[in-house]
Amino acid sequence: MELFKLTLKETAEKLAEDEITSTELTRAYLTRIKKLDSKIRAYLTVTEDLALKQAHQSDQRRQSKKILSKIDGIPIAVKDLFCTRGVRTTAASKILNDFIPPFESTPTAKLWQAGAVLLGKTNLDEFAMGSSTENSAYQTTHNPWDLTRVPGGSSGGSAAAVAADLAVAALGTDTGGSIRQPASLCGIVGLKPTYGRISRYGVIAMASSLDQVGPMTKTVEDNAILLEILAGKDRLDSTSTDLPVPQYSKKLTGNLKNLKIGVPEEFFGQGLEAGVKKQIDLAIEKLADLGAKIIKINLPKIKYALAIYYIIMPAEVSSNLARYDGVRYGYSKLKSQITNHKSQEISLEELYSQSRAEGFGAEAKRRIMLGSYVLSSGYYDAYYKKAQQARFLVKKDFDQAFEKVDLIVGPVSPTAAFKIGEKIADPLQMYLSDIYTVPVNPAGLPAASVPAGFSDGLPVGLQIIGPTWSEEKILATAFQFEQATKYYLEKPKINNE
Amino acid sequence: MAKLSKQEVEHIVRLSKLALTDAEVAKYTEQLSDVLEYVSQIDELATENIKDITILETENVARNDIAREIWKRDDLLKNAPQVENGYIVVPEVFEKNE
Repeated sequence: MELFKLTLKETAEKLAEDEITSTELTRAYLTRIKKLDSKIRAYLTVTEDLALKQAHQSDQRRQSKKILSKIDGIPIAVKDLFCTRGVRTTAASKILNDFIPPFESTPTAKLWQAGAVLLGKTNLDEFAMGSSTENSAYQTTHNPWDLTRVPGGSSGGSAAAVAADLAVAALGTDTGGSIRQPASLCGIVGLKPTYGRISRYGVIAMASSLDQVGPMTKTVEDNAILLEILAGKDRLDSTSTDLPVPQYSKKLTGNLKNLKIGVPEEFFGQGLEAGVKKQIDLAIEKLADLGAKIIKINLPKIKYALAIYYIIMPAEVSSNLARYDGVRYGYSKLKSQITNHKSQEISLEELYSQSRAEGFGAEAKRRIMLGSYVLSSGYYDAYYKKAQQARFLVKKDFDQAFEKVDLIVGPVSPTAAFKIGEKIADPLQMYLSDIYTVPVNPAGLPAASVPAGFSDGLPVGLQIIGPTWSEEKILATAFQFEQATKYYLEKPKINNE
Repeated sequence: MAKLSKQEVEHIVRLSKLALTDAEVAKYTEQLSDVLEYVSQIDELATENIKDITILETENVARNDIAREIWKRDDLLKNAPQVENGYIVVPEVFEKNE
């Protein structure tokens, strides 16, 4: 039996029935990573020893009938943006090349408290800034469906790992599409929950009013299972909410009758690839077949969302990344001087500016500078304040739409996976690949990407957006669509190797 | 909002605490100008009357300021570039008055 082909739910059942042990399972994944990851390059760090230790502990718990949850013993990959105690955490940046966190992020802590096994830390665009993983300081991840193409980003390593059966499931983060876009491009399920649904404590911050953690999985049900574990109030993140956490995985069945689904005209304009449009049109027909009422809507201010995002996000980036100063941790000019046996004649100002110049990659620098500019004296009102007000208008567009419809659907990405190198030289072109995912984050809304077929052999994702705290409805709708289409059963050819 | 000048970019570089080469400054002048031109489309929006910009469903959270030991000092210092007698070493902050 090829264990790595199973979904999280199926894997959990095999463990529960004592057909397999966590150690067997974890070994199967580690072997597969050794065999295949030189082609995919999804992992920055594989935590083999820790994984086998955790698997062994899980097996002991199971023998003594003391399992911690239904995911006890399940091997999971984690984006290298989550601090993991004692395990190198880089954010795919040179500036954190040697960083060993002295603490654990809340989302990962919840996974280990539930008995999950850490397989390793996955690649991303540096500090989660990008849509292809090409901004990683270490490696570019390859799309399992076509190795010459990007997996999307920034959670591209997590998406590729799940798609190539190199992990049962993975954790990602989404600031402007970083879970949904790679999920779409790799043909897996990705959920960006409502702002505040999952604690971000210990997750390296990019843009604090936009960042959210979410599960990346093979199926919708797997996603619901992980969301149940991850969601909830955390006193270490004051933006996390104490709203009760529903049993998402038990509320997937039912039907879509009486469900009103809005289709915004603005999501089908210029730049949407024909092959992607075709799959999304088919998906909308399928939702109608399943009983949903399809309603055409307009979100007139949505076209400004990307512009708003590229003011607010860099402003928050410039503040959040000010902490990398070469003094307390991370890459430091001071340290490189000691290693080179040079005399210590660097000024404090030089320590800051040289450590940062050498530690940060090009995209991080661009965004820090953009942020410094829009927050600077003389420009604050024209850019930052104006963008905050405009952000309110985008939110209002969504609020008004949700008075008429229950959910909104459309494409996740205007194109299927693009070629490695195709967009990296033109930052603005790269930014435009997030045009349909970005609007959700400034409004704090939840949204998912669900496999919706293929365009020239490359996966296409359907985006399902809901009002705040509507994860239950999004997942249930996604589940009905998934069960009616079964696209998740199709796998990349590389998975048979 | 016009194209950035070299002087403006040099000012941003200083604010950003990044030591960049002239070639980098030239490259970023171009790229940042492109992005600023794109984002300036928000000028089309009438926002003058928007006072309340509460968007996210969050509230301020206050707690008593009570010290707790969460992390071990030695663990934290392990990531510091240079440590002496349990303190992080930094270059001189104040200049000597000679």
